[in-house]
This record gives sequence, structure tokens and C-alpha cells, in this order.
Amino acid sequence: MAYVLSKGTILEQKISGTFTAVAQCETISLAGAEAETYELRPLDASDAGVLNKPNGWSKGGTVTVGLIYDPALAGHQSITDLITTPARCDWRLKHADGSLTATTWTSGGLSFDEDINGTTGVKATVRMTVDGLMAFPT
Amino acid sequence: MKVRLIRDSDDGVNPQPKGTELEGPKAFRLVQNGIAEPADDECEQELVRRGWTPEKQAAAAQAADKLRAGLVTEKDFKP
Repeated sequence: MAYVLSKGTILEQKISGTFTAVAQCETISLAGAEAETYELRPLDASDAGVLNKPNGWSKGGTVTVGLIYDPALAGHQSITDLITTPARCDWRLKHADGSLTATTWTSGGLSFDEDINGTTGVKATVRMTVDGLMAFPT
Repeated sequence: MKVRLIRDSDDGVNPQPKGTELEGPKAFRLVQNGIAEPADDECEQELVRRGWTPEKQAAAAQAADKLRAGLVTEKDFKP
């Protein structure tokens, strides 16, 4: 059992068949991965609880990455490349747990928002839609 | 276009030792990221077109090493 720091986490993008780190990430959020269910409300049920059963589908969810954006940085340009030239892309998140336990996924598409605010440096938010399922550590 | 890894990497399944050649339309990004060097004319020309220099190559390689080792410091952020 261990606690794992966020600091030291590495996000990697696969380019031309190899993984390469994305610099200046500030936040990474993996959200919405879900094994779907459907509700059952049998009229003859004796219990009050609504039943939820698996429907056989699972969603990969979304990945949101907050960047301290540097428009001249190749690792950030590689992300916006996926806007100008849409393509699926493989990603890997290495946790800072000593053995670099990894979660991997393929983005089907992504959005890119640049935020210029007078009180902070320029930042950007990347939102990826996961194609299929994430590969969680097992 | 082709590049050659200048440090060990992997494809998520198999290790890719230093010297492995990789090919793809965006392979020049690996050079800019500091983990590879050009391995054909097409890649070199693309990098020259983008204003790439040996100085930038050295800086990118150093930055990649720091990023991998978790040694990025405040000094690495230029105003």
C-alpha cells in the first residue's frame, strides 16, 4: 500500500511508433470511464431498489490535460497537429510510483483551448475523447 | 521520413534501443522533442524549413533528458 504523488507524473504521446514525453503539463484528468448499465423496474418486485444491470458496453471516457502552453514547444505542436490533421493517437500516463505504473489509451479526437488571461501565463486545455477503453493498470 | 533514436525508448510493448530507426510523416517531431536525430534527407529538409539548428537540437536533447529524469527546474522556464 502506498500513496502516490501527482508530481512526477509523465504524459507521453506516441509519435511515429515511439512514446515521447509531453512537457509542461500542469493537470491531467481521466474521467468518465464507465461500465454502462440499464435500469429495470419490475412491477412485481418486492424491494424498493431500482435494478441496474450491465448492458455489455463500456465507455473509455475523456482525458483532460492542462498545459502551461508554449506555442514553440514541439511537444505541444504535436498535440495541435491532431487538430489540423485528425488522427487517432496513442497516449500513456506514467504514475510517479517508482515502477512508473502506466495507464494507456487511444484518443479518437481531441479539442484544444488556449487561455490568455491578464493575471496568469498562457495556458491551454486539451480534451481527448477515448476510442474504445483505457488500459488500466492490472 | 526517417529518424534514429538517440536514447532508449519503447512502443508500449517492445523496447526500442538507441539507434532504432523509425518512420512516419511526423517523425521530425521526435527530433524536435530531443529523443531522435534525422535519418534521411526528407527529415533534415523539414527541420531546416522549420528553422531547426544544431543548437536547438542540443537544447532539445538536454530538455528531454531532464524531463525524463524529473529534473526540470524553474531555470528551465525562460521568460
